[in-house]
Amino acid sequence: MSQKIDLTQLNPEQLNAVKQQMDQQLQHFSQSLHALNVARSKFKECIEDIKTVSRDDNSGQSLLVPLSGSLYVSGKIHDNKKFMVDVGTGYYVDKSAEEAIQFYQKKVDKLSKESVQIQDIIKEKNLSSLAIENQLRLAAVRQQEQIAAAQKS
Amino acid sequence: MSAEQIAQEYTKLQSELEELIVARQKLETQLQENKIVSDEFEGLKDDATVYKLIGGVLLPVEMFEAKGNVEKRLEFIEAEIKRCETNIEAKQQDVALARDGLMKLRSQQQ
Repeated sequence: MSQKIDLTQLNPEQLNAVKQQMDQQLQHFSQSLHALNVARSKFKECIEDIKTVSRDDNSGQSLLVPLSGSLYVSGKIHDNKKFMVDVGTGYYVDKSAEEAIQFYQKKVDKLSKESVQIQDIIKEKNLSSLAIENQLRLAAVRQQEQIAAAQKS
Repeated sequence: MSAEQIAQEYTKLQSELEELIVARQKLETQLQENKIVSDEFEGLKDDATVYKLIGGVLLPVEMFEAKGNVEKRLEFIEAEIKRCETNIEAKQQDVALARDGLMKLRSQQQ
């Protein structure tokens, strides 16, 4: 999608338009990156939760089960080595603690990879944005000089 | 047609095109989500217990049934994407035509 544009060939209006477009893209990618990191930390939390709950001293542990945001009943962990994992689109799968951790770790790894990709894109866009700004400044200087020259003659 | 009408037609076409593109993006999200689920099912042991959330209840479903279901959904979504893309192409042509018309009119007026 990175078509080559010779910035020196553009007039200030066009430069402004390109810059706006670039800024929009930058914003979009920054938002995506943020969403990705939020999702990743959620999955990481899941891994920690599994590790905590599946500890041997937590078997048969009693706990409070939330029925609503402010209502709880007391419960007991029946099997602290078995988890039910939401795999998406309304499907849930029974997994052992190890399998569940694997499942989430895979997701975290994937998101980390994508996060790096997006960061690279953002870096690249930032550079382009700077280049455009530079050209804009040059164009402004040129225009000033032209006006000055016109006034003299 | 007056210039105004053509301009209106052009903006209308443009917003229609945008709608189609949004629809296409939604389909892509669904496709990716279902692909993830499908991949997960492929990696499961055959005796794994799978549940489907229906309303507020989790119902146990057979593994092959769940697999088939997701497969079918993937096919459906892919077909929808194809349909959506042909629509987008057609709309893009319409928009280009409208733009040409508008340009011609503008240059005549000048």
